[in-house]
Amino acid sequence: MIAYVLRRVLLLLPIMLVAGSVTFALLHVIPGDPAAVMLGPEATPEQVAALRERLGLDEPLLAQYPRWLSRLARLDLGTSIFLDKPVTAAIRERIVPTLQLTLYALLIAVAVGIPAGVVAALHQDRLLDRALMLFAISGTAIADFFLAILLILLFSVTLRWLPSGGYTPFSDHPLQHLASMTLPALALGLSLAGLPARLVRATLLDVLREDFIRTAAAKGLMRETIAVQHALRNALLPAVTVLGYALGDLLGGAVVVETVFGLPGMGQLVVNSIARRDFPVIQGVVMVFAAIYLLTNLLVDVLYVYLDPRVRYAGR
Amino acid sequence: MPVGRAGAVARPKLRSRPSGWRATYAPDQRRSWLRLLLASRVAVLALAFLIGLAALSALAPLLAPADPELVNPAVRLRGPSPEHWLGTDDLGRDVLSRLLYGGRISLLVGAAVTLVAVVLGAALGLLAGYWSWLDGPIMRVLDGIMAFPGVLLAIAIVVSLGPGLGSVIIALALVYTPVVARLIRSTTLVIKQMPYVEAARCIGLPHRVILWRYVLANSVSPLIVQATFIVAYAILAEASLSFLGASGNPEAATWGAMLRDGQRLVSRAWWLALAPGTVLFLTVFALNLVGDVLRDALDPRAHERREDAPVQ
Repeated sequence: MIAYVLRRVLLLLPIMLVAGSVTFALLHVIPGDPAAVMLGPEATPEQVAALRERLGLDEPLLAQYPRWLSRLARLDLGTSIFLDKPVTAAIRERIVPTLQLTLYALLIAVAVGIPAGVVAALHQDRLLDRALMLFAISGTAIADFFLAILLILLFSVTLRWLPSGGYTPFSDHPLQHLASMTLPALALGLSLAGLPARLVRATLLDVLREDFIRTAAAKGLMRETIAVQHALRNALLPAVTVLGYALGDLLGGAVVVETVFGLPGMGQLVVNSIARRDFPVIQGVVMVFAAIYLLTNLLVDVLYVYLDPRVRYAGR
Repeated sequence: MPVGRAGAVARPKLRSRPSGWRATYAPDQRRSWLRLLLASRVAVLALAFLIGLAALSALAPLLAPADPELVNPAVRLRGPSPEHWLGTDDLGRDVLSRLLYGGRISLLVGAAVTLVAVVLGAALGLLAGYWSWLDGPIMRVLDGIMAFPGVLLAIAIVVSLGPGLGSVIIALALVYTPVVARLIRSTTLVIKQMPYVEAARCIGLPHRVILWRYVLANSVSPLIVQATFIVAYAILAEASLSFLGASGNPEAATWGAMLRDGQRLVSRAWWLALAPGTVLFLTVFALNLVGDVLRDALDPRAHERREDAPVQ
């Protein structure tokens, strides 16, 4: 078990190296002088020269690259040009709402998607199945930020039940916090729920054709008991995989949905940095999200070993 | 769907039919995939919608009732009316005209991104799958790119390259290339073990001929299905980028930019977000349906299904 986890961590290192190199390359594909591009046309040559020196751009690439990697290894993402503070500090201030939103959305996707998939599979090809699957494909086809706008239109503008923006920290007022996060989490979670719903339905239909299900049916177990206790356990693994895989999209989606609701998270940081051409911040955010994604998928893989004993033997 | 790659990759089967004994017999090999596509009513409707959308977008300069960039303060924020079928925005620009011109950008980006991602991804996938010494390096690099959330990587690339349609296409193509490469690598790994590939090698065919005529030719079906989904999610991703203002000229008529205006004015002008959002949704929905039907039609396993589930 420990050997398996260790091997997984070692496999992560080359991927991290590539990810770090990609973010390094991002700064150097800027056509022309990155410092001049970041400061904009109204900057004086002295300012540009100063920024070049601060970013280390005046050194040869071969010297910049190892220094970038060694800084990454020490979790140093550089200094924001506009905010005048370390990128890690700027991200730390902003990351909590984003992670909360991602977590809530994931919970909604699981809580809605998996039961929907089970119910659809048990009513295969009947009206309920058709209706649920129509919703599932609609979910995979609707843009999360459009769903967010529709939810605002319904719950904030028309019904006036929930706020259309703003953010309350959980520690300040838990109830208000949940009220402010409900619409963003619904927008993100419901649009993702179609994916696990379709996957659970498809795998459940396959599993329901297995011999051990026939055995369970033959010994007189109830349909629902078979579906939940025997079949679902075997059908959940693909759903876990795809949700781990969709986490990257979920983090990206959180950035977009946040901007709709004005949550003070990474999304605002990114959007503001686009307008200011604050490149170190964008590099840093991208790198942090890649790290979160890789670590969570490592967790999913380890979780797998617990969920499915077969993996333990195959992994040897 | 949160924009990214997961939707384009994980496409669980939607239809569980045909099942039962009938499905295991009489697989009509003569039916081409186009005919299978046309045999599905849903797919025909979806295709008709997509063709109609493409035609309307292509003919936008002829059909649009007004210049999409024309600012007319006299008719600011008017609801749908006979003069402006879909209303006007806060600068008095005609929403229908902007919608038509926005369709050109969406469809262009969707097609171009898919073309680049398919060509590049197929080449990388063939190399990685066919020569095992290339497999490790190529796949590690692609894994590294896959580690970034699709939208964020695209934003970072667009900001680096400078705003513009070309940057958006390059950025999104890079996001979706690993998806295609993984698919083609997996089909290549299977196909290169086939007896006909062995036979081709025995008669001395060069590798590039084997790769082109046998390996790639036999990967075309899954590739077409994958490409359909990439078009759908590239269109969605482009809308996300322009929604965030990371795609180029912020005044340009794109569906994403229109949705941003609609979000800003959501409490005063509901039609501003509803028009582009609905068309975007229908486009991605139609592409998804076509992809699903194609996949079921092209999947060879569809013909050899096991019997019905005992639990129904």
